[in-house]
Amino acid sequence: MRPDDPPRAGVVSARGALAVAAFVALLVLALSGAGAVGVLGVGATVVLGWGVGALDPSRTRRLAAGSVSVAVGSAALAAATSGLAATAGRAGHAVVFAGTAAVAVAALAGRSPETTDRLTRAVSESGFVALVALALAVAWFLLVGTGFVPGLVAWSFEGATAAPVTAAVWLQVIGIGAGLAADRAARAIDSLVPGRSGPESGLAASFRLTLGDLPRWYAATLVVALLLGSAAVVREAVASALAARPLVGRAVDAVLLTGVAHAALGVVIALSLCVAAAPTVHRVVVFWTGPSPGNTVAYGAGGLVAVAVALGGGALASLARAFDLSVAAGVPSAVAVAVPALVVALCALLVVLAFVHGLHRVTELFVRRADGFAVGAALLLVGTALLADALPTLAVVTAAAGALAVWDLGVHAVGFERDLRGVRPPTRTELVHATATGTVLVVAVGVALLVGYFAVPIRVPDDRATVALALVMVSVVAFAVALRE
Amino acid sequence: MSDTRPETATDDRDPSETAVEADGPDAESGSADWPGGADADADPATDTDTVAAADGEAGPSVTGDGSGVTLAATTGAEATATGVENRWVAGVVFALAAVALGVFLSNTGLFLASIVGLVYAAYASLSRPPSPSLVAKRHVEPADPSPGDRVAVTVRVENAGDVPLADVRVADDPPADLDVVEGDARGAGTIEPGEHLAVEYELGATRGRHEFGDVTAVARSAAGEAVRRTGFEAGQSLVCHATVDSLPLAAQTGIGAGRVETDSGGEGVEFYATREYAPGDSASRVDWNRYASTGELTTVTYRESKAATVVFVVDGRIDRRAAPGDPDARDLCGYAAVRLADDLLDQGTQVGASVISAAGADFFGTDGTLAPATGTEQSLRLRALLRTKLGVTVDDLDTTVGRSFAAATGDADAAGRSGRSAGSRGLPGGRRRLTDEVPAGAQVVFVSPLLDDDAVRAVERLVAHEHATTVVSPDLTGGESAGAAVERLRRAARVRSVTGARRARVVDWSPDEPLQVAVDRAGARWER
Repeated sequence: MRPDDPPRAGVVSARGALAVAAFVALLVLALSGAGAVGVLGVGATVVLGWGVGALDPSRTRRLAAGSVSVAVGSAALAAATSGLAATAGRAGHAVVFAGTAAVAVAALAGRSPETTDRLTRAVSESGFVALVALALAVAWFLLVGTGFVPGLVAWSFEGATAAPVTAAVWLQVIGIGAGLAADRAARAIDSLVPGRSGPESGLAASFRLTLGDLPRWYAATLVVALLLGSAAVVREAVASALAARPLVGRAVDAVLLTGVAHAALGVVIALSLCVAAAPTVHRVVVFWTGPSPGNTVAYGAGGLVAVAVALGGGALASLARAFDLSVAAGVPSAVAVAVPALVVALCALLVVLAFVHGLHRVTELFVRRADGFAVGAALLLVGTALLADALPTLAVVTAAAGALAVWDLGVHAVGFERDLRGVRPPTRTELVHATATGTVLVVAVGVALLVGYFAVPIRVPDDRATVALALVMVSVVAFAVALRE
Repeated sequence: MSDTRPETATDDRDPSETAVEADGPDAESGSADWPGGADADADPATDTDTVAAADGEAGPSVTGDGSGVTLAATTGAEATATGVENRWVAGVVFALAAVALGVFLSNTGLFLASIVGLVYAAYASLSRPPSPSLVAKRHVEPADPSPGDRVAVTVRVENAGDVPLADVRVADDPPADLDVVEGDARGAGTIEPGEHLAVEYELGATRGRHEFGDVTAVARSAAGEAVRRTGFEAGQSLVCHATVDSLPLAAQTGIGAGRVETDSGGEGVEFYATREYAPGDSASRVDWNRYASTGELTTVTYRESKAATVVFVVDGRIDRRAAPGDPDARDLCGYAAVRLADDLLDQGTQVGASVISAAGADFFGTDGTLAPATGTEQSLRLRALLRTKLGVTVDDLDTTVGRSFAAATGDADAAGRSGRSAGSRGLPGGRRRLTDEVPAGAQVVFVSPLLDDDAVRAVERLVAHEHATTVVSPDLTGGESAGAAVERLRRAARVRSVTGARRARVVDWSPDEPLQVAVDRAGARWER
């Protein structure tokens, strides 16, 4: 047995059931007007089922792929379902998707407490990542998207470079801030990589500054200079003095009033603060990943991909707006792309988790023997019924037969798993049963169509037809029971 | 390690006790309700064949030669279980649901879909369980594994009938205390007439006696609806242990030729010395070369080998184990005594045994004694003595060997009573003095964990009575705690004390290693 194959018996029957379910879903969806969205939805159910089955904590790479598949499948399924609901407005489409998803999960993942536990972990980790990204996106929107922080920076910059004296004082203040930030950054590096923060007697070390190093008289002088510099008398005196010396005046303008030095030191402060924040980020990441970082990140890989897609979409939207394409193509803002995408991904993951838990619960209570296949077959039948008015008779009968085949193959697969516990039977053995069942169902469809061909033209009042049918069905059941006895 | 030969056997169920049984119908699920383990008394065999044929005549028959036993069990309808999975009900339910939906939604297609359900119900309902004629056979290789070996097990289920079987599922029931290290004890397949389905797996052998359970085969119809289950009684025992050979005996011997090489010249095969010719010496033993060169007539003598009597004195006073779940001191002492005694008995040495049950200020009381004797029966008596007096079962022999195990148990007690000399003094509680139970001139192998000073005193007493004494001591002081470390130091001091002033030989055996390794190590030390 290959190491990447989970030990499950009845794989051929289970995958046959999934193939039949996918065929039935595609048939019903295509004939009921779902089009390519239907194909997308069915494909998403298969991806989702594979992802749930791939959540194996013993293999990190496979676990990450499973998490990504769960996220992608969930999002695609949500998109397909909501898209069809918006365009066609038929509940049957969603039911068919649900039936296919149930069969996919049963065929590719199986029903076990471990399966639901792993899915819960994957959804929680991915959801946590998406939630954090959502919070950051909202914060970015509030601070940057609304123009608050850029406006604040511009206002401060203008104020700091308005006059020579105040510009000189603020330059010193920013320089002190850069020294303090550099000291924080050096400590952060030392805490992360002890002994690697650089030589103490270098150029960089000479810029490091602590509050204790700052003389009080110097701070007081700065405050006094700032107050005096704001006074009109001083400003005029300095301006006249600089005007009397053109060379010095141009130098002061170039260094102080243009704000080049202020901006450079501001960049240094920003970078130093980023470095100083690294230990905090490190602690947060360590707290999140816990004792098994690889597994945690793998479980959250789906959320990371969702965040990457959302942010990538936001970046594309920003680029489109930057090149003035928004007017022509109606491109929304970056936040308007990223935030809804993250919300949709989050909701889709939660819905899928609730669906799988519900599937597990219903299966356990009512159809333990057939695993999720019975639920899937029932949903396919109900979905077909809800869309039956848009389908030809042949499609309805075929879809119904397909639903029955899904149940039969699923029961057979579960029986293999129960009897053999992971030992795969030969494909031939499974095909014998599948072929027999398929043949019988094809014959059954033929018989049904023949009966329909000869009997449908007969018209009877509805009430009589209902009573007659009820009596016929009771007779059939009685006959079947008698036959068994 | 020198010539360690495993002594194992695989046994199958005693045919005289075998009856073909049938599980009751499992009509509800029709699943393979694989059986659990079965206890089996056994005859040596490697293969077990079981036949189930549906000719309606029940009753076991036995064929085979001495090395293997074939169990042919004819089963009728009462020997197998049939059942159905009631899949037809799903078809009926499906039909009713389709009709209801068709009527409710006024849709012809749904209405007609009910026919599909009815046809499926009819198909499932008409399905009948197959009537298989199966032959099951289990093959175990090697039949005599040593601890740590991999045991390959193959279960072959052959379709002896003339109808193909679409779906046959087979499950063996391997010993619960052995791990399946490769493969799986279950399998399935489609079997054509005359062909077979093989289920192959490997077990990791561990010391002891391990019981296989029955083989179960489930044949299903192509529809999967009808099931016929056949249980093959295939109880089989796998015995696995390592033997000990070549325990070097001390020089103390009795009369008659034996295996103990003495320090005297006489009859034998190994050159010992030359001596002055004496009238009557055989001319073939005269050293003619020397006579030709020096003119002296000398006679060549060979090292004499004489018989020894060995009494195993098993210290059964202490019931302690190194760690929870490990064998206790009595188990290890009993195991060592049996392994070493079997080796000596195989070489024709007279072996006796005695169990120490109490130690007083000036005496050691025994609770059972086996007078020295030879042969396989004595080995059984020794096991019986240990089982009855210490509760130690060395589970490595077939109970049908000579059908004398029960008798040997009685013999052991009887031997203990009859072995008392008329003049010996008794102790309270029916116990006997240790020194009274060991015949004069007999060597003693004292098997004790040496966990108290009384054991050292016992060695001292035995040596004082001029019994060459070999101490075999399983080490039970392997714990990591401070108390265990102290105990280890004290035991080491006792070992030194025994080997020093008391002139006894010691085999210091850690149960983590084979006993033979400890014997070889001690033997090398004694040769120096």
